[in-house]
Amino acid sequence: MILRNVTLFVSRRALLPVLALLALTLTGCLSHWFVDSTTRLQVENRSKSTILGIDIISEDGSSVRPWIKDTIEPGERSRVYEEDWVGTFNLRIKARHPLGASAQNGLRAYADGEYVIEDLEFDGGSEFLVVSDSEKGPGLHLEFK
Amino acid sequence: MAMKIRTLKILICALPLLVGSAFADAVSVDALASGGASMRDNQLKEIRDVLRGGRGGYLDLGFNYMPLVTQTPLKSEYGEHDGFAFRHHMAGFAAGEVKKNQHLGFLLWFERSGWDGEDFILFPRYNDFSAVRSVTTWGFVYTQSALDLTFAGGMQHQNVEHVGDIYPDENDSLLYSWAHLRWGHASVQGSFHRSDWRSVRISMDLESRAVYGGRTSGPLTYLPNVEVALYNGGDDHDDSVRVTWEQNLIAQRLYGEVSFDFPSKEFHSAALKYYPDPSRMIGFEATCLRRNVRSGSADLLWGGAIDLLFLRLAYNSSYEYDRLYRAKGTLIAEVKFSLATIDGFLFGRGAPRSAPMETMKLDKKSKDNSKSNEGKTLEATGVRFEKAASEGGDK
Repeated sequence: MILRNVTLFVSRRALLPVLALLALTLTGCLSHWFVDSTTRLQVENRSKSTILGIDIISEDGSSVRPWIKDTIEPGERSRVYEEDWVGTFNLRIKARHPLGASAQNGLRAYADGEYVIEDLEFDGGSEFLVVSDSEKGPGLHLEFK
Repeated sequence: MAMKIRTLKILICALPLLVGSAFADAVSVDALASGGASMRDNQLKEIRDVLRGGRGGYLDLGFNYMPLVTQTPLKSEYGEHDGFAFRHHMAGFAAGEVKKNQHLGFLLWFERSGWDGEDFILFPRYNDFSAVRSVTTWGFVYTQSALDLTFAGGMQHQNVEHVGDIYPDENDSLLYSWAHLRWGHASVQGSFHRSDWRSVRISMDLESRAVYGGRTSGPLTYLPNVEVALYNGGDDHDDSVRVTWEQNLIAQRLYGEVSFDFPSKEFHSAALKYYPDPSRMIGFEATCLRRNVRSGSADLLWGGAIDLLFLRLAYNSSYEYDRLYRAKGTLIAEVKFSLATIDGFLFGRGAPRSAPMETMKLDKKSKDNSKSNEGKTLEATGVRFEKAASEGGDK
């Protein structure tokens, strides 16, 4: 009888560690509740320029991986692209700026710009990036919403 | 108020994790790319330890547990990727006596490790930057216990499960063969790829170990365990040699271990290990490792680990640094179980003595059919061991 009580006591005591161990075997599952392992990016262009593409560029600038493959005209939104960029990376935006009034012969003048935002942190999950004209002068203003 | 206390408790619990991950360093693409060779070598080293007796059995199971994605991020040319360096391993060895003094056994070692965006055991993430590799070692063991002679041999399979395109090209399926010969305290181990040798390990385990019929105390237990491992550098590198000296310092409870690399004549690592019981089920270790980063004192990595039978906690320890792709600066937990047995006695891998067991008490309690008890004692000893410990606490 005493032995049985002891066993019961031990099993109740053991319940918590056993449950904890069960939870541990799920490892990644636990963190998956609050961590995403991919980033889904959508970009809205509220600037007057055309966005030609958004990529991740390596730290030494030697290699590039495209992320947003769409050309986004002013006032338009890109499609959503899901990529494995979770962490800290350099983002590159290529944009085409119209140069004032249209030139002669019906040809339009423009200037291509390339912007690199260094050490941008992506925590995974859904990201909505709004690109607008910079109020401080020529260039783009970026805001994650 | 209660809510506040609860929040405080959660914060206090999370503090070591936060501290542990705040200074975490990323694992490198290079370390992951060269992981296969060290995985194979580590398995052969463990097999050497387990085959010191050449008979009995061994069971090992374990996986690393890291709750935060920032603990072992990956450093690539693009930046730092959140994710997990992980390691799942299991091993088993069992031998039986087929004739008097002749034992036949089979062993199987398996390890799966790498870096991935998630560390699910069953459902890997396999993203663009993952590298997941597995190594399986199997072999047959023959032991002549009267001559204290063991011969073992088998194959090693190295398979790439998934590798992102940021890593150098690697053969996705490599086959190696291995052989192990032990006579008394000396053993030689070789690993081969086709007709080419990969590594040779010569071990002189001179220390007298009670589990294999040696002494429990006295000067013979203070003899060193020396290991010389030769590695084939291939076409690009010179062959290298690593010499490891393990020394019993106090009563087979405190050990010192130093290893040096040649021909560079450089210090590789040192460890001071304390086992409260010589059966090595629980251990505490302090380690120092040279990182080859060539910046003076920053070269040395100081760390430590606590090894409890089911759990291992380590910070900058050389064992984790070598096996988890040079992960450092973070607290690494491993859920594990590992136990070796010989003649019904239980001990940790590499231990000189078995765990104290209370088989006598068990015999007294179960009075009925004492003859068939012999077979049962082996199975029940583990249970008795735990119970005996709790009884002792009540007194």
